[in-house]
Amino acid sequence: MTATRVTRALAYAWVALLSLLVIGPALLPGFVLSYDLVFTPQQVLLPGSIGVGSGLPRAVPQDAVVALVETVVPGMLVEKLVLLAIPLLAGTGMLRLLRGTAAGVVGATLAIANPFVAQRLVIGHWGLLLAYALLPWALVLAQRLRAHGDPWDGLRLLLVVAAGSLTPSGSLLLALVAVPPALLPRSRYAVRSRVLLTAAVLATWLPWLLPALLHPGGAGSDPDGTRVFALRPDVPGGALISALTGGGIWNAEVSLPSRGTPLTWVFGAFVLALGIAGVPSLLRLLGRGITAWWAGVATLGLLASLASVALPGPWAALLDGVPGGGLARDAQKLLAPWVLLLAASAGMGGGRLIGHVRERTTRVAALCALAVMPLACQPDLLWGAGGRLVAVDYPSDWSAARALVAGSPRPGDVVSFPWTAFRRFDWNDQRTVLDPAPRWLTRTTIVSDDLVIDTSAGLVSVAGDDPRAQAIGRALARGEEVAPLLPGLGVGWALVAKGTPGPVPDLQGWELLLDGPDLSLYAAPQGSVAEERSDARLVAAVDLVVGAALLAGLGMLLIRRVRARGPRPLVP
Amino acid sequence: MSVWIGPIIAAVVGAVVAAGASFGIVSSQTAVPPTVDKPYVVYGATQ
Repeated sequence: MTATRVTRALAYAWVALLSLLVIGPALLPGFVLSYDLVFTPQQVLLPGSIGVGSGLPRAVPQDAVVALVETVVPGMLVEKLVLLAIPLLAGTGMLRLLRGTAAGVVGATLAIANPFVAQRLVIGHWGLLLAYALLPWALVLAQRLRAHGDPWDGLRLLLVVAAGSLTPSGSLLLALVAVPPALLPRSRYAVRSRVLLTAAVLATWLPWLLPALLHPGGAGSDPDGTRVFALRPDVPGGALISALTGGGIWNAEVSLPSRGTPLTWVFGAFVLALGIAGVPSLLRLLGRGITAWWAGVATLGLLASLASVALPGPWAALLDGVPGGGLARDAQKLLAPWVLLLAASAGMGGGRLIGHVRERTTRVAALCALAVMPLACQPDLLWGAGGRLVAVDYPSDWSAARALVAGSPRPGDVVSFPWTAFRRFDWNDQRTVLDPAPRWLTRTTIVSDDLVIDTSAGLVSVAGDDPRAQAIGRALARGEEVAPLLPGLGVGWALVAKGTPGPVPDLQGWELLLDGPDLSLYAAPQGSVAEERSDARLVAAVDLVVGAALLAGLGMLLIRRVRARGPRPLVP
Repeated sequence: MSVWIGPIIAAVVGAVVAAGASFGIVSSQTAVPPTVDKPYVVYGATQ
């Protein structure tokens, strides 16, 4: 093995080690349950999974893909693979994008170990992070496509974009940052192929776009959300420093303590200096077209996220006035292109700095110091965000409730109480987590979709969009009896989680089928069946066509790869 | 010997800062107080 290969292998080994260090305890047996991060042993494909439930499609097609994958792979393993894939893909993608070992190692480290990744991991937005992690890979392909115009690279780019399009925001991130550079003037990609690629990328949006357009209540979201999900200054120095350093998530509870220390300033300034130093090298490496586009989108995202806090009125008016504007209300998400651009540019700057050192030993020492520095300044990015991503076991009541619901011919959907969107269980160390019931049970489960946020003005409730959930919430708020209302909403079952706060209505007259230490399950005296949405088949058909086309594309690439290797002699 | 000097320096730097962290330069995440009890489980806090 040549020295260069050894060096490259060491760079990939560093990314693997760093990924293990970042995810850490989440890889132990059990499920990591943190805010929106909820996996169960086997999620079932339900109408809501493809966006034709009664709420707006948010984790679509993420829920459908997870349900399909979990028909063959246990949910616990799927969660660990997803969590590990995020730093691995981001790091290896950066190594491929930046090519040089020193630049790649520094860029990969910064792409993995930063507040954006840590905060989004804790809040459980793994679909967005998967898109973030695939973005360097998509840019590698966009660059090749622009330089050589090979149609197979166009197909590869489409598949990478599709793989990261499990949520609307992930979909938009990849499509807006990585695809246009391959299409802009001076690309060697044939014009006809550019049109086809654009159409194909837009088709990958259909699984979430179509149900959003068909949603009976429209695709609008509560304007309060724009205000409470704005960028939140999380370092001394305010919103600008928070945004430049990749932090600033709206939720103070998922911000890591290292954000409050002077080290954040020092390290942030150092990375920015490296980033500025690396701009010329990045321009030379990626070319003006890609770098300028990426920088443009990143700057726009940075300015937009700052506008959410500096100009809250106009920002809210803009998002509320634009169809689909709700997708941008969680303003820190808009920093994703900036965080990766800074990592790439600082990587090139680091490579340049190390390149000035002539003596080999000092060069190795400097590279190791640059690679360790982000971890040393922000040690709580490691080991599952400082021990917050910990795997736990679900109590056995959950399996029992699922079996009862799955095995019963009684009709009707399930409603989950207490009537709050989130849970805090003792067995999950009181960590806040989205109600796991919809992903556990084999029937559509209605949950409260109002998001209660603790703000300086008191508790603010951001209204959800599921009409059935709204009807139940209204009845509870007015102190009305809820149980008689439920069968009319197509509900035949009620699941009550114990030991977690929130209102539970009187279910007198309902049959108690399970009364365990953690859950109770009730069946309505007379069940009823919720009406299936008339557009469900249309959405399912479109999803099938899009999924089959993508699988066919993947198959074509695999066949081509096998053929390119040619027949191997039996006796070498 | 020369190949190992880099990792050794990196390990020493890391250990020093980690030690500083344990003495409060960077507080542990587990020290963050949980959300105060409310009738509802809040999604998060903006303050």
